[in-house]
Amino acid sequence: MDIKDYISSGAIESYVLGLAAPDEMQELENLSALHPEVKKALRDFEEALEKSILSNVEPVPSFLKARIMATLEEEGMMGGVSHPMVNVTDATINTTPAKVIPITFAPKGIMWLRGAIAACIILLIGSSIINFYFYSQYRHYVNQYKELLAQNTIQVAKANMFEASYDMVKNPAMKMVPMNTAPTKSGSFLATIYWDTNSKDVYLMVNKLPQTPVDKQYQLWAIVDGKPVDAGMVDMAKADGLIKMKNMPSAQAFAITLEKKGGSATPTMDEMYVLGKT
Amino acid sequence: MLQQSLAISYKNPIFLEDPIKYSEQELVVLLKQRGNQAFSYLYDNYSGALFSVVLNIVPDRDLAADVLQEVFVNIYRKIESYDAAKSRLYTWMLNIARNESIDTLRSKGYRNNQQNREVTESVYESVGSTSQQIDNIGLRKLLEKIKPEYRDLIDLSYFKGYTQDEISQMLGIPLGTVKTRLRAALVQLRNFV
Repeated sequence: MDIKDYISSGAIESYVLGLAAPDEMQELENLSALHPEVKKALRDFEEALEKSILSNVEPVPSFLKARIMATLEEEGMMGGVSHPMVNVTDATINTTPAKVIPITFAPKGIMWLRGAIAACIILLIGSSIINFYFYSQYRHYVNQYKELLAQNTIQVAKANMFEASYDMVKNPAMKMVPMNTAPTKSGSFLATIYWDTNSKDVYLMVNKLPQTPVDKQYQLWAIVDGKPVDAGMVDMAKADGLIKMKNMPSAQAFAITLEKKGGSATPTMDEMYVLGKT
Repeated sequence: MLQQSLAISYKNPIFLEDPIKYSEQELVVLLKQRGNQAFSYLYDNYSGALFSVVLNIVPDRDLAADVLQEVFVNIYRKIESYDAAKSRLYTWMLNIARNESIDTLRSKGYRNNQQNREVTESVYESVGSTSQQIDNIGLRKLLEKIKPEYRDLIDLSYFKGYTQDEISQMLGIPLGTVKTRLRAALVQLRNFV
């Protein structure tokens, strides 16, 4: 085929104007790839066509642009393509191959969501802190409560004991024998014997006696027929109330001496603190 | 190449608003990115030309405006597949405009609005009617200057969108003849461009 003939045959014009049949189109594309002069002729006609028609423009109704641009925007959003219409500034103009610009999701909704999530997390942390605080307070108060309960139990026991003691003291059958400071001692001491005239039980109340040294202990004596009889050791731990001592059928007097721990068979007269006649 | 008999003043009437001028290469890149500004530029510079192409085929101005909108939508949709190696951007758009116009022409709605024309009407009977259609715009204007049989071929293929095969059947002419005659018609037409 003579290329020059081909070029001047109108085949190119037919192709450019879209009038060529598929086989003609293929023919031209092949020839254009093989022969630069065909390609050049192709481009030349395209340019000429463009110039020709651009010189015969028809005025377009002015409202149309806005409508068309809006339609294109919509097209971008809903057309299902991955690149919707974007607003591009001059600064981004370059001639490198187009890069896909994915749309970033509308900020409004997700900002709210993120804010809400952040707020929830902060509330949760704050709530946890408060919980820890309350729990520690709780344990503290539970312990205090337990302590109070225990103390209360003790107090109740004491009260019961005092009540019992008081009942005994009130008892008309009880003989009260005050023991005042013995001559051997200076200072003011006092202890009281409550002697049940019926049962002959002896109860001691330590009104005022000094604390004993660790290795010493008070001992109660009953003077019976002029002789001292052991009436028991004084357990100072029980000195809050009446201390039950040994039963004494008869006695002319009672006395307390300070003996070594565990007591002695005979009283140490120098260490007599209190003495009282019945 | 260009014949100078008709004044070819390369007017750029629509570069008014836009101080920026893109080269075709730049424009294609931006269009493929679906840049708002690129499409605006395209519209500003080519809508008039494309509109004239549409009007050549769909004379009704209101309808032509709708067609023009469809043309731009199609350009937007198809820009991804535009291959700069095969044709210039303008040529590509031109074909979109032409195809869209012909589709409209052939749509049922359009046909209902037009006077009934027999599709099988013979060429020589339609000569009179086609000459009545000639407007003073674009290619149509140039049709006046070429031979009647060439004129009809161009009318049927370019303005009415019939394939060469269909024309061959309509006119009772062999397909090969249609092909060469059409090419010759175009050559003659080009002499007046």
